[in-house]
Amino acid sequence: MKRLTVDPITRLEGHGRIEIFLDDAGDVADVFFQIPELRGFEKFCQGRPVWELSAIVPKICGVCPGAHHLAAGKAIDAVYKTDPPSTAKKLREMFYSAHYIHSHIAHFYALAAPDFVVGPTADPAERNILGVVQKVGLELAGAVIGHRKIAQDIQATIAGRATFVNWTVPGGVSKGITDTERKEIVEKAKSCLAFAQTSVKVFEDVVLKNKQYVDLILSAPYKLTTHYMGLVDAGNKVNFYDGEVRVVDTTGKEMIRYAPADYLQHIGEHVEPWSYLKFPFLKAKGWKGFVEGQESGVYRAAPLARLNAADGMATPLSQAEYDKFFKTLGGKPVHATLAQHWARIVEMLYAAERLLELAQDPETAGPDIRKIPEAVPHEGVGIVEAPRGTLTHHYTTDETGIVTNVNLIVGTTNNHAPICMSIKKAAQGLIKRGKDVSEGTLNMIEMAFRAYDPCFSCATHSLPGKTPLVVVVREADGTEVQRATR
Amino acid sequence: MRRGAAMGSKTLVLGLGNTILSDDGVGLLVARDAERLLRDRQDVDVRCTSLGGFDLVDLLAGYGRAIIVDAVKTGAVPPGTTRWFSPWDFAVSKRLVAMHEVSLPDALALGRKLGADMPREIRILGIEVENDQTFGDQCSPLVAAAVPRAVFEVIERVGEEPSPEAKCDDPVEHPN
Repeated sequence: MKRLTVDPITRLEGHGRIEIFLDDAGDVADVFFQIPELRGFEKFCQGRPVWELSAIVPKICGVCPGAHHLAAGKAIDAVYKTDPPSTAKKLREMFYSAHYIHSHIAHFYALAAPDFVVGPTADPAERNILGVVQKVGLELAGAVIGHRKIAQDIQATIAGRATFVNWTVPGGVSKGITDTERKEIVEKAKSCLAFAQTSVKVFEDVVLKNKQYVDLILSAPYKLTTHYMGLVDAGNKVNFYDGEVRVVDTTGKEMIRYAPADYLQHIGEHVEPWSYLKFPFLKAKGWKGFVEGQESGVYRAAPLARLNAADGMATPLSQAEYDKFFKTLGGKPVHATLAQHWARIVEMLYAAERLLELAQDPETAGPDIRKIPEAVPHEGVGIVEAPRGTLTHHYTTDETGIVTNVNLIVGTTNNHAPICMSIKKAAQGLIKRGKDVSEGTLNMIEMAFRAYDPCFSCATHSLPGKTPLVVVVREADGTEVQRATR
Repeated sequence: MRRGAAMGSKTLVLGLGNTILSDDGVGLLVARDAERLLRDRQDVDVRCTSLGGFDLVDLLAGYGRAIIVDAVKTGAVPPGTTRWFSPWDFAVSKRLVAMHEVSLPDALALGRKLGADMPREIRILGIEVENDQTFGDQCSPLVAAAVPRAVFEVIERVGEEPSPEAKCDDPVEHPN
């Protein structure tokens, strides 16, 4: 048996490792995806006042700090059995809409676009953000950087700072915005909306008008038939901040719908000896292994899942793009993993529209930003849709609010089993018997992984040193016969 | 940020890290100690951040020189070892820090392409770490013990005259 090692996965958080085992004929026998998990978060939190967690949890993740902050804020509201006033909820959602714009811009232009704008098998020296700039031009590149900054500035205006905020408090938020600030956000939101529309056009021009890419998106190696999870509002429209969790089956039919506090009734966690991370599954189906299909317990989260799990978008422009998405890709649900990129653009459009809607609402500059909690604290669950999937925070405290237990299911963890399955399926479809595995082929296998925008080793800032992508081919006895580095 | 000197002639000392991830926060500790010793220098700003990628471009823009302090995990030297690097030492890895987006070299190149005034000279002091995978607000003993030496190295580097020929897009060899 030959062994291919892809370590670490490029352009993503943390030190991922893909091991591809080839049989003697040169076909893919098995694939393992491994990542190191950060340890000790529960212990770190125990014994602290629960209201500190909303400031601590953003530092779990340098990529989704806003998502963790809001999930914590909602969980702490629940611990104190308090419901924030309308202004506070709208401010939180406004902050979060800007956070989404910032996050989705980064993924699409820095991580996804190199594969589509420059090409999936292009020279890796050019397959990066600079190669994208070369193709799309400096004006668009400037708009990318500029709107990331605008989105950051909006978050800073609302919450005091853009990242690692300490803003939500039990029952609301610690500061509001003035009417002048609200009007400034309206102008910035208009600019973000125009940029999101430009991004829709870029995707259309670069990807949808290229039959080769549409065929690639819909090709068998990148298809995975699973159930889908997403937060929806009362009308079953996508909602990032609030609502209930809805799960649709492989045919798009609603299978489960639950309030955050009930998540343990529906989500189980499977353990494998070769992985540090657990594999969440739907209890209604049970863990049947790494298998696709209606009877499997495997579900997916994140942009594609959110669009599949909902009946539509709550804003007009994103709804039109949502309709086009399903019409182009063959109807609901879409099982094409690479369609995540388009789904992310649809969500960027929604986030910009929603940001503008909220900023135009004078209530967001109102003074009623907190309801002081009066109940004895005990236990609470908060769920938001992180850019990378449904994010669940569950805290338990003693009667004085000191944390006794913490459980988190983070966005990417929902997708752990599907990521493993997607990599294996791509490898099996792309590695051809008897042929050397090219760098381009390995990148196309990574594309199955990268589509999820996964984020594992959250907030680790250590310089990794020279840790290039290493491919090692070994014979069955472990002898190295081929090594490629980039 | 202190003012008092023209931005283009100023030096930025930038500590990177995460304060709740054990050794990962060592760059922040070094920068904070260095800040106390550099308080009277009008030509030096000291900042700390947990950001990376494009966001570093914003932080670096306008400075003539940058000295970045961060945790490094190579496994090649004992924990607590300090070494100087250039941004290009991390070009192959595709990321300077655990960034979600682009590497420092790519971010610098992008910044320049977009017309940002990036530092002419960037040096990175890497402190080899042992444990950056466990949540905690303390560094491990060997890494904590390296902080005073790392602060001294930063102060010493700040005291050096920036090389007039140094350009940000020139690869720089390790000085040691």
